[in-house]
This record gives sequence, structure tokens and C-alpha cells, in this order.
Amino acid sequence: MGAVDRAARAAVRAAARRWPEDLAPVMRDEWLAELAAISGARRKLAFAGSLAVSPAVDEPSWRERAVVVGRLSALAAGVTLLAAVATNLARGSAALAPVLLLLGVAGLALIGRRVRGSAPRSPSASIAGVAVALFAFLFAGNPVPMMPFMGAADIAPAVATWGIGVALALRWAAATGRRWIAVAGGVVALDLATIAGSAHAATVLGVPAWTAPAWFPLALLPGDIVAFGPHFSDGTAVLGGLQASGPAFHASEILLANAAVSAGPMLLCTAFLIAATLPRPNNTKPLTLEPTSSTPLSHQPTDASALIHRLSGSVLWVHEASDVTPPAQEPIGSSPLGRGPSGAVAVAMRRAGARLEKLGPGGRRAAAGMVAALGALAVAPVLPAAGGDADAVLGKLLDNSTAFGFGFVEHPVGLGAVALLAAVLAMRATDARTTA
Amino acid sequence: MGEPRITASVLKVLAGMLAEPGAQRYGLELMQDTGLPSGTLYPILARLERAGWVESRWEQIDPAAEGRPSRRYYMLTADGAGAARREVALMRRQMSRATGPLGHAQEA
Repeated sequence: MGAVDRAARAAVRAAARRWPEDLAPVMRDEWLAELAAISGARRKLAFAGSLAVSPAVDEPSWRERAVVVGRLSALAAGVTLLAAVATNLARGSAALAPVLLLLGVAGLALIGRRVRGSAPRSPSASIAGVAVALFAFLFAGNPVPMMPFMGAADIAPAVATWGIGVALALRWAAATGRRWIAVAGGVVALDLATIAGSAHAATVLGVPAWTAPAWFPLALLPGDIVAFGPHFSDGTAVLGGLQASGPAFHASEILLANAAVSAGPMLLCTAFLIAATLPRPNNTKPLTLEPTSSTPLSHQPTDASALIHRLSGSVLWVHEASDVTPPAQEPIGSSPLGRGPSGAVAVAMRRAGARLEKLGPGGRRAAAGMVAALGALAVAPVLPAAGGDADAVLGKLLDNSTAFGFGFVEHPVGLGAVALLAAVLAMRATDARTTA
Repeated sequence: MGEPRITASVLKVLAGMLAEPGAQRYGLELMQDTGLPSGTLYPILARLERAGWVESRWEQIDPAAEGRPSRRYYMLTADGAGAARREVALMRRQMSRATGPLGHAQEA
């Protein structure tokens, strides 16, 4: 028997092992018999190769898998970008940074609960998706690093440690049914990830290793609260090959500010992942991203228009009105405008709701995608990207207002990808709201 | 036992087996008739067999004497043949509706 035969037989045996137990031995024997009847090495390899790479009888098709991977990737990228933007906003607020970060944690946790229905059965897939997105945005997405210690040697250990730690915490919590284990495990994972991602910086800066457990919580605080490690009295430093000068500083200020760039987004992403995995409280309706076709859309106001009415303070009017009466048919003058916070705003919002009703599901979906894409195109260019000014970088390090780098939006392809991502997520959210 | 989901590939297999409804066909032969790769054909055959549209049996030979292992043959069941005719006819009707105006135009 030649090498081709052996390879082909090994491939069909491996393929048969993926089939259900009752069919696997039958299929293996059948395929081995067919292989024996096939002449020609190319035909044998084609026969075996097709079986090896194709889904078994009960496995999802490649198309179904591609859809799942696409949705997971979009969600992971969206959550990571949202966490990064929220972290940047928090860090830019100086003393309010810890409070805003906690608000960000609550917000991401809320989103995690809402999208739980779309999460894969295994949280490991979600964690891996977010970990890849974090690494891609922090490292590959920023050709010029925002911080002096933002190389692969810093980001890769941090993201890998975080991903493994969160996965273990969620698995342990699921096995024991104790939610607090996921939260405690997530905090431990964040601490270990910050240590792993800052070990290189600590070695270069001479920061003592015994301070390592405190790096994560301290990185979330504003600057000038604690200082340790060597003191640079002349205020000069070499940052990413650039010579920077400023006021005197301690090594800890560089280390903590550098760690904060990844620690903040990882904290918010952890909140999202834990909330998306923990058991759902009975009173929370999940916002599944899987569209269904059974909802009688014509017999109830859509969530999109209901949201508009709720924002305009007329939620009572929505409940009191007939289910089949679209808001546009209600005379403006007869609506209980006094229940809303502002008459003019209420009218405008109600008109917007009526227009949304007229658009239909497809129109609302397209409108949501267009608005999200245009919003991303408008906002993305003002997000912070790396600069070549080492003095400015040093200043941000010292007051711990460092930012997650959005260098990838400086390139038209990156900007377009962010706009496309925003559009896809907005359309999926509209689908889910429409069918919820 | 539910009915299998009818896709273009499933229709190819059903049409191929309907060409000789009583014939016993092995997988390689069906691959050649339908143009489907092995990774597509065998899951379809497994689903059709679960649905009772197809049955299979092993070739009765002495592998030692023949110098090759027994092969597995597939054939349409009576139910399967009826269902296959129905699905193929339905597809033909849908196709003829879709291509009808074009066909008339060509004839004219």
C-alpha cells in the first residue's frame, strides 16, 4: 500500500469518527470499500479529502458555521470597540475615571444580558473572539504603538492570560452553579492578565515584582495617587525609540498608565462575557440576534417605534392605544402630549416613530444600518490614535489619561470596516427588536 | 421520522436514483451521476435513509475471493420513490414557471 492509499484511508477513518456512533463504523467500512474500488491517486485523495473536510450528517453545514462565525466576530469586535471607547471616555475624565469605568462595567453587563440568546453554547468561543479582537485592535490595529510597552511581548501574554482565566472562571462557575465564582474569577483573571502584560515593562523599568498584584486596581485609578519603583528625577525617558522629557516621575507611573490601556477594555469585556454567560433572571427578556418569522408584526407596534414613544414620555399612550392603531393615525392635537417631558420633542419623536412604522421591517433595518454607519464614520476619526510626539505621550502617562489606540481608523480600509461593523450590528439589533 | 429537507443537492440525488428506480447504486456511482463530492453525497444518503426514502444493503461477496471489501448499495424504497417523483415534479413545475416566458420567446 502506497503513501497515497495510507493517507486516504487515514482521512476517511478520521471523517467517520465525526459521524454519530451508530453510523461511524458503517460509513468507515463503506468508504474504505469505495477507496479500494477507486483508481488513481488524485481521485482517491479527492474522495477522502471531501469527506474529511465536510460536515458529518448531524453537523451544521459550512454555510451555517460561516453565519455563526460571522455573527460571533461582529459581536466580539463591536463589544471590544465599545469597551475601548467607554474606557477612553472614562480615562479622559481624570478624577471621575473609576466611577465612569464602573458605569461602563454596568453598561457592558447590561448589553451582555440582552445579547445572551445570540451567544454560542460554549462561552470559550465568545472569549476567544473578544481576545482576538483585543489583540488585533491593540497590536495589529496600531502601526505606531500608543504606549511604550505595547508590543506583541506585552499584549499577547496579557490577552492570552485574560482569555484563559475568564474561560476557566466561567467554566468553574457553570459547573458549580455559583455566579460569584465567575465574578471573582474574572477579577483574578484581570489581575493576572495585567501582571502578564506588564511583566516586560516592569523588568525594563525596574519596578519591584512584589507590587504586581496591585497593578490592575491601581491602573484603573487616576494618576498621582501612588508611586513606587525607581525615580526618574531628570524627567527624561525613551519611549518607543523617541526621546521624551517632562517632569520627574516614578517608574510605576509609566507602568500603570501603560497597563491601563488594555486593563480598562478587558475589564469591560469581562463584564460583558460574564453577564452573557450567567443564568438569566426571570424578568429579563433576552435580545436574541436570531431572527424568527413567527412574530405577527402587523398586530403590535415594533420595539423601535415603542422605544421612540418611550423616549418621548408617551409610553402610557402606547399601552392605552389599540394594538393595531399606528401612531401616525392618531391626530397630533388629540394625543396626550402633557404626559411627555416636552410637547415639541414628543411630537417630533412621535412623527419619527410613525415614519419608522411606514418604513416596514426592511426599511427600518436599512435605516438603522445607514445611521450606524454614518455615525461611525463621523465619530471614528476623532478617536485617539498614536502620535509621534513622545513628550505628549509622556504627559499622558504621568496623569494616567492614556487611551486605547484607534490607529486602524486612520486608514480608509479600517474606517470603512468600522462603519460596516456598526451597520451590521445595528441591523442585527433591529432584526432582534423587531422579532422579539 | 421526518421528511428530509429538500435542497438542490438532494434533488440531484433523488433524480439520479429515479433514473432507474429499482436499481441498486453504490456511492461512487451516484457521485459520478450527480456530480456531487463524497462529502456532500453521503450525508444526504444518510438523511434519506433515516427518512425511509432510501434503504441500503451490503454486497454479498467473499472479500477474500474477490480481493476487495464488500461495497454498500443504495436503492429507493417504495415510499421514497413516490416522494422523489413528487419532489422532482414539483421542482420541474417551479422551473417551468420560472423559465416559461423565456421558453416561449425562444420558440417564437
